[in-house]
Amino acid sequence: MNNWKRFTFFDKEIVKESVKDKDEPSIQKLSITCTTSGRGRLIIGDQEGFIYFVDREFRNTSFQAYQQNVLLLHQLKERNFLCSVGYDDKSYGQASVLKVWNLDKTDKNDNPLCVRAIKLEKAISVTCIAVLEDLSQIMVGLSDGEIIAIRGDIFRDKTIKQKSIRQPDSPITGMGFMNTKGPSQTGPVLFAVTTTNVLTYYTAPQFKDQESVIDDEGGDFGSFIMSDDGSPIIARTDAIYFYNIDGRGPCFGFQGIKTKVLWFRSYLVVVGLENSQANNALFPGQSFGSPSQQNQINKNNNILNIYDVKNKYIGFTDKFDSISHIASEWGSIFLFSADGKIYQLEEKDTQTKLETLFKKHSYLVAIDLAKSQHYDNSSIADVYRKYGDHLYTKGDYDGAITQYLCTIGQLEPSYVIRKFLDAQRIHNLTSYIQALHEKNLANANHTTLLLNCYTKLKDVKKLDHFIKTDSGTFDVETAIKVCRQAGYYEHALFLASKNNRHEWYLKILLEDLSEHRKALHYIQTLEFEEADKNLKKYGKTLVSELPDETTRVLMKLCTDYQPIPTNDLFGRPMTDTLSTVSSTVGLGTKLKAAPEEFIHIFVSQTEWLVKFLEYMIQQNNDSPMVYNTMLELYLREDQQRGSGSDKKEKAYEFLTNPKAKFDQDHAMILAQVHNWKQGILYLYEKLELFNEIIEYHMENNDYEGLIRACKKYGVKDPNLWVRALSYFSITKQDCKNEIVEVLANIDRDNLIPPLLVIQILSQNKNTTLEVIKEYITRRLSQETLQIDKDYSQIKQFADETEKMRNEITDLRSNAKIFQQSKCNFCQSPLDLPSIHFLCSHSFHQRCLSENERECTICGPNNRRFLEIKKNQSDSAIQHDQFFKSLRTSPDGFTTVSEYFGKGILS
Amino acid sequence: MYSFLFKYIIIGDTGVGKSCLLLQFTDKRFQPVHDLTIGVEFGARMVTIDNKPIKLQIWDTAGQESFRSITRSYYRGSAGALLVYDITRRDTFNHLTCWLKDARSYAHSNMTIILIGNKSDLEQKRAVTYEEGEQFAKENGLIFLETSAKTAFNVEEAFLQTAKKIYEKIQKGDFDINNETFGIKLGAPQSKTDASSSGTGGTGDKAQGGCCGK
Repeated sequence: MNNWKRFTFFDKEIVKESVKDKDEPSIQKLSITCTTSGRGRLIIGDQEGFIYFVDREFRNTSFQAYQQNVLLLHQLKERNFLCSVGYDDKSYGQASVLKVWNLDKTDKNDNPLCVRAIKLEKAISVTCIAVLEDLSQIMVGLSDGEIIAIRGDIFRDKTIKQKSIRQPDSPITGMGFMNTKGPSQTGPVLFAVTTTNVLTYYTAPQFKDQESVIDDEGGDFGSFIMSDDGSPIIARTDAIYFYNIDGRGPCFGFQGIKTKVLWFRSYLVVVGLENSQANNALFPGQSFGSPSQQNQINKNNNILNIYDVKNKYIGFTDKFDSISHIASEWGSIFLFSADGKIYQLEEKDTQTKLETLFKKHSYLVAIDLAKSQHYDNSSIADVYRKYGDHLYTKGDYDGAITQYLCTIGQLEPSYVIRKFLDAQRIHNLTSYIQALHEKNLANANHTTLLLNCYTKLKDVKKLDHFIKTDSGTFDVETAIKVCRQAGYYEHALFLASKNNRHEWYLKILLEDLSEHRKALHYIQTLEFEEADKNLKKYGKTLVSELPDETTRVLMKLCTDYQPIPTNDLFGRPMTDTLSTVSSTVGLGTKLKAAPEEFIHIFVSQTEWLVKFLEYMIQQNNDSPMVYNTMLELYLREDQQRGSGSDKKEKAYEFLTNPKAKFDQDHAMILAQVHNWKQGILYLYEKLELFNEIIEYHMENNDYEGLIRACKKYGVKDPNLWVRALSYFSITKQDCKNEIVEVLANIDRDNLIPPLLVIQILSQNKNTTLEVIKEYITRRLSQETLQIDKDYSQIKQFADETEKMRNEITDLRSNAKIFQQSKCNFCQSPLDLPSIHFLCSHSFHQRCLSENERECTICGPNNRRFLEIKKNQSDSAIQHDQFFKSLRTSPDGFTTVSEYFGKGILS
Repeated sequence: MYSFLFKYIIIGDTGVGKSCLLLQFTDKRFQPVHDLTIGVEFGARMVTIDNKPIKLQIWDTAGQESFRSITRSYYRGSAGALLVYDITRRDTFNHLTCWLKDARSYAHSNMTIILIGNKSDLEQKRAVTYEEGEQFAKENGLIFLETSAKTAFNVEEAFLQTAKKIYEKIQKGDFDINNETFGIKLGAPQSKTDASSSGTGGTGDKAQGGCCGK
């Protein structure tokens, strides 16, 4: 009937008083009338009118508060004031006196200071009091059912009015001010319990003590208590009821007669009467008789239960012999029994309680307890783990995982994971790892495991959810890998595209799904660098599958690439790509891929490569590689086709295109490999390799071409003719005409001496004299002519020399007669003094001025000669000069002879 | 703050899932192992009906026979009752008449009652068909729903439909909203004097208008 768990969270012991003085009265011997507690002391009133203060060591101090007995005590919580009701001496009649004590102050007798003593007007016995903390209202409940309100400033007001707010009716059994803090502006509300009903009074002035009956059942003496948070509790025979301002609140159906209740911390301490029926001892059930009857039967047998109403368990239960009073202080509950014993119930510490709970496997209670004790997270997690372990060993894996979920963040996940892996409880494991991810505590291994779980369970829905919503909480790379491995390509794709793992995306599309078109499209949505990179990587596959589209993309990539702003497969707008584009544009840098880097991907798609390259060339790309490849393609195609004159033209046209930027060496090799005459020649020409050109002609025995080449380039390199001649001279065939032509050219430019010509030609046995007859004749007659010319010149020079010699002799041996009559300078007749020179010039001495040693007419001439002579002899010594001019001169012999003439050897 | 406060009571045999329904509705969680309710427990939640905030104050009672006398005292002052049976236990359905009799005799006659066949997630163990439940509700003029406190299926719905029904009754002027024995309370902004002046019956509309127009 009652399934609240039962624990023993309190230690019971009998209190031993420490009596410091034998004269001091022992509490155990007192006839206690009332108790209260607070501010570190138990306060006890007795029949002799004394009030005792008991400290923690159970030493007591006392003073006489009343002449007769003390009836009620009420200790304020916030201020050290004590309210008491008792009887003073008989002169007051039997009217009781309310006294308020300031416990911090003492009067002249060292007793607490009595702040106020109010004699109650009605001489009716007081059953209970309720005091507001500020002492502005003191309510006194009387046994005839009246409630007396005492209001005013008890410190200052001379007279304090006593007002009855309830007319006599059923006796008041309990009263208390309710906790009315909060938004409601009801002011202090008095909660009053009578034997027949429950009432509230709104005591704030504006409500004029408005009375409402909130329950038609009342409570007996001692059945009412205020909880610490200000909610009234009434313990009735059938149940313990919690109240609020409107009436009944929740209730707990603990049956039995209750004699006393106490609120201790979060516990409700209930003292009840034991039922004589042993089998239903603690909770007399359906068959309880009338209270009075029971009372008589079990007068001395009290049962005490301590309920934790929040966590729903019974913290202590025991039997006692008639408990007369009950109080709590210092974390303990004190029970005063009628026979003078004092029991102390001390609450165990939380750790001990938890251990007890663990032993009983009451983990839920333990968790609640740990939480209500504000344990730190790791300790609470530890309780959850214990609970989980317990359920696990019982085989309740579902339950266990629920507990383990609560340990996330504190307990090492591998502890749980290993357990469930061992047990092959994938479902549970999945929910655990999922929770890990939700809390961002998962590492890559967890992700792998989770995805593996999903795939193993074929739980596509969860996988969807996980992948599409929880991004960022796991390692993307791992997730993609796992999805891919398990064949969940779509998920892998989603992840890849969402996280811009383009390589993975394409890899999956191409390698696993063969979705080339999609892949290509995807590439186009990427920004330049990514597109470039990925096309290089996957271009080959793409080209072989989608040559047309891929080529087009490549063309774009290499010229003017812009990512296509588009929605990807899962409808996610590619905003990031767009923004990148705009930023690139903003920077003004146009990105172009290098086409040569893509050539290799066309390995088996020549046709498309051609298109690609043609386009590139059209776009004026300046990479030689492009041109070379293009050329190669043209040539190769031609070769494949066999004849294909058309292509050769195309190639030639391409080759000779002035815009083309070839690597000429490379082109040459290509032309040679393909044995492409036209191309080779063109290139030779371009490279000015004339020798190679004629050699080429020679090799090909193309005489005409050879001659033509010689004619064309002979100007630049005359030796070509010589080579042509020697070539023709050794050809076996008859090439008379050619030789004649060559000779004509050699002759014209006088390239080689005729002797050499003959020598060369003589090598060919086929060359007949006829071929060179004309040449030789011409050469010989020319030479003869030359010789004649030379002879006449020699003669002329010899004559001149002779003439000069004679003159010299003449000058040396014969006298010279000066017959000049005129001065050669001023043309006037000579007069003395005059000067005559051997050159037959005469001058006035005055006309010659200073220089009379030289003829002014012949002097410069003579000096020139002298100079020349000097120069000649000087330069003869300068051998460097000689070699220099020798090297530069067209006719070495002439130079040598000239220098010889200058006296180089003299 | 709220415009209205409705008091509910959940009744039905022990173990049909009354406390779990409440827990699911107030805390949105399910506790597979739930202690037996001893006495009467309490829960509250705000809902919105017709754009008005309404506070539901729910009394969860013990189903055991021995607590019947205690729980009876809570019928009074309830505007709505959730009468719960367990679709996997025939006897809980059979006891409905008994519960209904209690409800009719201890609560005010205009209390809105909803019949709830709980544990609809345990289809394989079903012992009471949907039609039977529906039939019983029809015969006795109750709203009917099958719910699952475990999966939260229809739980919200059950509380809301009841609230709507009560609200409709207020609109029609079936209650004296100032009489708290009907289990309906006006929100705090409505001062006592205002409420009394608005009177009874058809003026209910005006009264709300006053509190919500604020």
